Amino acid sequence: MRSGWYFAFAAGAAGMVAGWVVGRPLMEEFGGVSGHEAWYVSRAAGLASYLALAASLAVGATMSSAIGDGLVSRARLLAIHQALGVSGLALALAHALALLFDGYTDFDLPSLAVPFAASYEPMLSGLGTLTLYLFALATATFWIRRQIGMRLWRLIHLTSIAAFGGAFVHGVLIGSDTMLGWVQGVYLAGAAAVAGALAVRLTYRRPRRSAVAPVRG
Amino acid sequence: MKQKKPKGDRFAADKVIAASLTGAAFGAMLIAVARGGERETTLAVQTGLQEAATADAAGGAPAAIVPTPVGQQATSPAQAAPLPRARRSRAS
Repeated sequence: MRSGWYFAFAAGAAGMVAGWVVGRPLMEEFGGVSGHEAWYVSRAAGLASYLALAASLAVGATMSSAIGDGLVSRARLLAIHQALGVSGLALALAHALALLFDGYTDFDLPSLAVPFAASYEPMLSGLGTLTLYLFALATATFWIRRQIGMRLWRLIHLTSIAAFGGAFVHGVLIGSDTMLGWVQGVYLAGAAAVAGALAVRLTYRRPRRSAVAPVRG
Repeated sequence: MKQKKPKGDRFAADKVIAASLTGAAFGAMLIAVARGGERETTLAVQTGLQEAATADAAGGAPAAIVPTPVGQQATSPAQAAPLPRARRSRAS
């Protein structure tokens, strides 16, 4: 693990702690939500995770399309793509683990870890679990891509698109906030970013450099 | 001779910014969710009070105000669960 990642993890953790330190009193101020913190944290982490993973996918597809060449280096886009992916994955994990402390939904570790084993919305909960595993796989394999080969790595990496679709369906159908306008905005913004970037990735053709220098005069 | 910068330090700032933005998004969502929760809870209690008053006026027993976890039944606003939980039972 390189030093940049240590800093990134520290910053992400600091951001989450800051979010909690600032958000906790505000939750009390706005809602008097004592006893529901776990549920609120899970929802907030789920939505933030969705946005981070959407941004990660969008940046990854943009990088891969080469449309930004000359504007921003691919190495920089790769660093951002990875950092967003790891942060989104951490938040997705927090989204799931926070449910262990929620008194209503009655999740325990096996029902979170084993897809479709939950008593609460088994299909949609299971879809969330599968999505998390796929994202974890796609993220983890980045560090072992030389060992597993580019072909397999690319195949695994492509499953993150399906995983994002799963996250979208999971969020929209199981989320208790889906009726709220700003939450719909979050879902649409994430989906539009990914769809747009994938459209660019599939259609953009990098202009070929001419082998012969233009003749002047 | 210029020493090559270690590869690990490349774009560390970009990684930190991306991770920080994700953390900040979480904080913003937490506040937004809690604010939404306040409105929903207030609405649920108001609805509950209204329904209880209607039931009292009709001389009947107050109806359950909001759906509650299985095995429990809220019959007064004080017992009513906040709407986020009630909404979850809607989907189940």
